[in-house]
Amino acid sequence: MTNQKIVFLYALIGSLIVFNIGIFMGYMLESSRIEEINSMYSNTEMKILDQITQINSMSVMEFNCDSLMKENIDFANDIFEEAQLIQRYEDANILSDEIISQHKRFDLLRTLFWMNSIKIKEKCDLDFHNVVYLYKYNEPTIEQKSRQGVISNLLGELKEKYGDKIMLIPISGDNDIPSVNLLVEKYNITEFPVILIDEKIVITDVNGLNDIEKYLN
Amino acid sequence: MYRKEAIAETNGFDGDNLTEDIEITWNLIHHGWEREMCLNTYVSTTVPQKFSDWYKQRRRWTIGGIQCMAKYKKEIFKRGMLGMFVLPFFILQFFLGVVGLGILFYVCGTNIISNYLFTKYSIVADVPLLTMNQIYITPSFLNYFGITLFLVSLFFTFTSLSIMKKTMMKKNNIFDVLFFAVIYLMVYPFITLIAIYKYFKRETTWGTHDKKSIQRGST
Repeated sequence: MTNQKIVFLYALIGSLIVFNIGIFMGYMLESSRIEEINSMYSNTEMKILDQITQINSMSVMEFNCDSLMKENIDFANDIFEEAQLIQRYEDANILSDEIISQHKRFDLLRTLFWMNSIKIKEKCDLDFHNVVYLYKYNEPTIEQKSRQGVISNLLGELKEKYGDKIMLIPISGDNDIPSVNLLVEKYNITEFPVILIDEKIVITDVNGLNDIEKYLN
Repeated sequence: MYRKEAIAETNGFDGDNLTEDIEITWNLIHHGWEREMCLNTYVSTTVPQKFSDWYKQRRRWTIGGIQCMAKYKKEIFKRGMLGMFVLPFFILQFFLGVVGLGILFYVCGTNIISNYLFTKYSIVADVPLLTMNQIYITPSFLNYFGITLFLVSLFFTFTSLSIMKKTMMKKNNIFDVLFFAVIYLMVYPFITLIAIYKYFKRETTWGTHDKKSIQRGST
């Protein structure tokens, strides 16, 4: 007859092997997603550094507004798609918290992009709108999360309608980034989500596209 | 098969327990009697043919399990098979069932509220309820893990059935296997919850229908 204690031991070892393989595979899956975000970050970082270099070197070389504007538009489009992808990966992330620090780094890049966008608009006298979407990142309530989901779709519609006329910049407002905190303080923002248009208008209550459009025309 | 001396020492079957066979086994372990499982034994049972009968049987078994755990709670983590394996295994199984069900209720509840609010705000704002971004499914590793465990357990069940078929199984069909793998495992935590409620309400009798079942020998 089979030794019963050995059978239990086999079952325990089998379960532990399956469990550990599962955890390992999960870790690998999340690592590959973080790797993808890292790669996206490197590309984005390179683009923003190039923009900063171009703006800062205007005293020594000719300032090419057309080129900067084109880069700015491409960059804004990338940012919106990246934000959606990162959000999806974050929602499915369980084991590692590295993705949270990645989010902070992206927030910083987006803030830099926002500042660059202001400079390009001023120096080139261009007619586009900076639409900054500051949302609650840390522990939003179900109500806030639902509202933010709707605003995100709303801004997607806005981008589709206005295209290159708007630079859509989503940034988490409560991710404890000093530079973002300073800007939040500067514009007297006390609650999230909020939409900031052209560094002048702060919209806290968005009930439709009209609430934003009236400040764009 | 029991040794008469062992039954006498453990005062026989506990008439108040709904799973007296398990109780007496634990009692025998508690009194230091040897037990052996004969894996080659041919055993048959009369199984419930209706869902309601099956539900009552499983509820009764679960209440019996709780009664056993309550009766032998002081034995947990004491040296020996009962304290170190049987009791922790039973308690963990109950705990995971109830916690799992709690998590399921929480996730379903928050999803329902979240979707309701999202739909409500989307209608007010006149934006599409579904965008391309929402169509993309990004599974977490737990989703993959769950699917893998399900497939592995299905494989295990089919393998067991194919082995049993040679010796004792006269017939089986795919519906029975799927019912076991999907419905049975999903319904069981609910039965656990109801059994806990019944246990604390002290509704631990066999009931009229169950008494008939005993007479038919379907415990």
